[in-house]
Amino acid sequence: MSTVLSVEDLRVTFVSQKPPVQAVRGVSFHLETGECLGIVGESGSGKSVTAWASAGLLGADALREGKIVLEGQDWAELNPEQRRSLRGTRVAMIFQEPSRSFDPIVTLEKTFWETLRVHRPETTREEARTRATALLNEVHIADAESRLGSFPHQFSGGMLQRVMIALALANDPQVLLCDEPTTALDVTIQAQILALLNELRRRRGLSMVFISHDLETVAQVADRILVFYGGLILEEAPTDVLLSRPRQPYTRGLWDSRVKRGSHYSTTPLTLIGGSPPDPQRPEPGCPFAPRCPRSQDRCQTELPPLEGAVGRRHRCWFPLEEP
Amino acid sequence: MNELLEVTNLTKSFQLHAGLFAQADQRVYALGGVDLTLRTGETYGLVGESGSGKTTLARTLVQLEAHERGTIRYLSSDGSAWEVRRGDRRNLERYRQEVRYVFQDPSSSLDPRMTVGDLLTIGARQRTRGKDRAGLVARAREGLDHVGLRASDWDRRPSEFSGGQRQRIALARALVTRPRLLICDEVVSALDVSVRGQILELLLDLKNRFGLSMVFIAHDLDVVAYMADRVGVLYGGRMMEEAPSRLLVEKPLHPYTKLLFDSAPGAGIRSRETSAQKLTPTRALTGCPFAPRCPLVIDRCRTEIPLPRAVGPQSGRLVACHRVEAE
Ligand SMILES: Nc1ncnc2c1ncn2[C@@H]1O[C@H](COP(=O)(O)OP(=O)(O)O)[C@@H](O)[C@H]1O
Ligand SMILES: Nc1ncnc2c1ncn2[C@@H]1O[C@H](COP(=O)(O)OP(=O)(O)O)[C@@H](O)[C@H]1O
Ligand SMILES: [Mg+2]
Ligand SMILES: [Mg+2]
Repeated sequence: MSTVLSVEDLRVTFVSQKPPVQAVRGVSFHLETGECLGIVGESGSGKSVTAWASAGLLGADALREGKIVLEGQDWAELNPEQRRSLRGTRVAMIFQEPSRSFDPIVTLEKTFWETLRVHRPETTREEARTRATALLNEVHIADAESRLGSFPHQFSGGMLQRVMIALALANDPQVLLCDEPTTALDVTIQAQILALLNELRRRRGLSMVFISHDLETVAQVADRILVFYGGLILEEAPTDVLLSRPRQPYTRGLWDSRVKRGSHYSTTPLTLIGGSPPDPQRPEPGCPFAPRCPRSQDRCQTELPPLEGAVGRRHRCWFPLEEP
Repeated sequence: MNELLEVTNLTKSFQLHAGLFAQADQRVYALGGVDLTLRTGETYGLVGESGSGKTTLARTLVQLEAHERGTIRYLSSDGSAWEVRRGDRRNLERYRQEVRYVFQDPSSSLDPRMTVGDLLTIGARQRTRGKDRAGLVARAREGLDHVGLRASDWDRRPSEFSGGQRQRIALARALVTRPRLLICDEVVSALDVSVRGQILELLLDLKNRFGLSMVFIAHDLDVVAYMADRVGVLYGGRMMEEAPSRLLVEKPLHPYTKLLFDSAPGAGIRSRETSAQKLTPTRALTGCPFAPRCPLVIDRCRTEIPLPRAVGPQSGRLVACHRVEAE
C-alpha cells in the first residue's frame, strides 16, 4: 500500500473573527490507496475544514499552517493552475448539500459538459452526453439519457446526491472526500447511498475519506476511524478496534450514547455526555474534552495530552481506558 | 370518552404551488385518512420518511392547519369532551393552551430580537390580555429552571444559545401554559449525539414531572421506539402499522416498517433497494402507497387500498397490508 494523501500538523484559523476561530489545531493523518478513512465528530469539531483543506478548497479568510501532500504533490507548492488541475482528476469532494455542486438554472447535460471541459477543453457535446450517460448509469439513475435535459430541482434529495457523486467522478479522481453526504437524507436513502459508495469504491479502487457526525454511519463504511473533538484528533483506530476497545473516554461516550435497537425508556436509561462542546474561539490549555470527561483530573485541565501510540492506533488522553 | 384524543379519518391535501413545471390544479395528498387514539399519560411515537405526513398530522392536531375531513375529539381537563374545530373559538383557545406544539428548528420560531423572557411570556400575555401578569412571569421563570436553563438566561437573546439550548427555550415556552399534551416534531433531529441525549432525557423528565402526554415525532425509528409507548408508522399520508413499541421492535410486520429498521445505520449495510423513490401521492390513491417500492407487492396491492386491521389477538397491533396474514 502507498499513501495517497498525507496531512501533517494541519492548523486552520479564521482570523476574520475576533478572537480568531481555531477550527483545526494540529491534525495529522494519512490515507492509503484503496482505503476508506472515517472521520467522526460533533458539529464544529473541524471535520469539514480539514476536508476542505485536503482538497485545496479553503478560502482566503483561512490561515493555514502545516503540510498537505496529495499523491506526492504539496498543495502549498502548486500554483492556482496546477491546483485546479489536481481537483477533479486526482481529488474530488461531495457534500451534504448537493445544491453546492449545481447551478439551479443549468441542465445536467451542460453541467457535465462544463465539468469535463475543465480538464479536456476539446470535449465535444456528443462525447459529454455519452460520458454523462455512462456516469449516471454507474450511480444507478434510471433512464439516464432522457434525464440529461433535467434541472437539479427536478430530482429528489437522494437522486441529486447520486448525480453529485457521478459529477465528482467525471474526471476519474483517485481520492473522494465525502463530507456528510448522507446526513440530510432519510435512513432508507442513506442506506442506498452508502451501498453505492461502497460499490464505487470497490469497482474504481477509490481511496475515500468519509465524514459524519454519526459514529454508526461512519463505522459502516470506514476501515479506520479518526475521532475529532475541538479541532483535534482524540483517537484513531481500525473500526472494529475503535468500537470494541476505545481508549479515549470521549470515543466510548459517543458510542454508548447512541440509542440502541430495542432499548426502551421504561427499562434502559440513556447514557449521556453532559455539558457542551468547547468554544473554538477560546480553547482551553488542557484536553478539550476534560470539562465533560468522567475521568478527568487536574492535569487534564491544564496540559494537552499528546496523540500517542503506533501508526493507525493512537489516542490522546492522560488517563486512557484500559485495554481489556 | 376515556382517551385524551381520538382522531378519525383525518384528511388533508395541499394545492401544489404553480411552479415552473407544476401542472395546473395538482394536489398533494399529505394525509389520506388517518385514525389515531392517544391515551392519557402515554407517549405516542410517529415515524416515517420525510414527506410521509408527520408534520401535517401534527399541525392539523394543533389546528395550525384546518383538516378537510375527519374529526379530532379531545377530552378536556374538566372532563368534558368536544370536537376540535376551527369555528369553535372558545374551546379552541383552551385547547391551544392544553396542547402545545414544539418543532425541529427552534431558531425559526424564536424571534432573534426578543429576549428569552419576552419569548416565554409574549404569547400567553396576548391570550390573557394582560391579566395575571405576575403569575405568568413566575411560571415562565419556573419553566426556565425546569428545562435546565439558568435564571440569568432570562435577559439573553436566542442567538447567544447553542441549538440544544434553543430547543430548551422552545420547550420552556410550551410549558408556560401548563399543557397536558406536548407534540414534539423532530425536536432532536438536528442535534449532535451528545446534545440529543440530553434533550431526550429532559423530555422524559418533563413527562414524569407534569404527567404529560406526548406525541413524539422523528424519522429515526430507534429513537422513536425508545421514547414511545406505542408507535405509528406513516407512509404516503397513511398509517402502515401501529403497535406497542416493544412489539414493533421485536417483530415489525409491515414491509415498510421492516425497510425502516433494516436501513438504520446500526443495522449494517444491507440496503436491498438500489434506487427506489419515496412517494407522496399527487393523485387520489387506488392502492397501497408503498406498492411501488414493496418487495412483496402483488396485483391486489395496486388496485385495493389496504385498511389497517388488527393482527394477533389482543396485541394492540394494526397493520395495513394485504400480504400480512391476520393471525
Ligand atoms: N469561514 C469560516 N469563518 C469562520 N469560522 C469558520 C469558518 N468555517 C468554519 N468555521 C468554524 O470552524 C469550526 C470548525 O468548523 P467545521 O470544520 O465546519 O466543523 P464540522 O464540519 O466538524 O462541523 C467551527 O467552529 C466553525 O464555526
Ligand atoms: N403548505 C404546504 N403546501 C404544499 N405542500 C405541502 C405543505 N405542507 C406539506 N406539504 C406536502 O405534504 C407532504 C407531507 O409533508 P410533511 O407533513 O411535512 O411530511 P413529514 O413531516 O413527514 O416530512 C409533503 O409532500 C409535503 O411537500
Ligand atoms: Mg461539517
Ligand atoms: Mg416534518
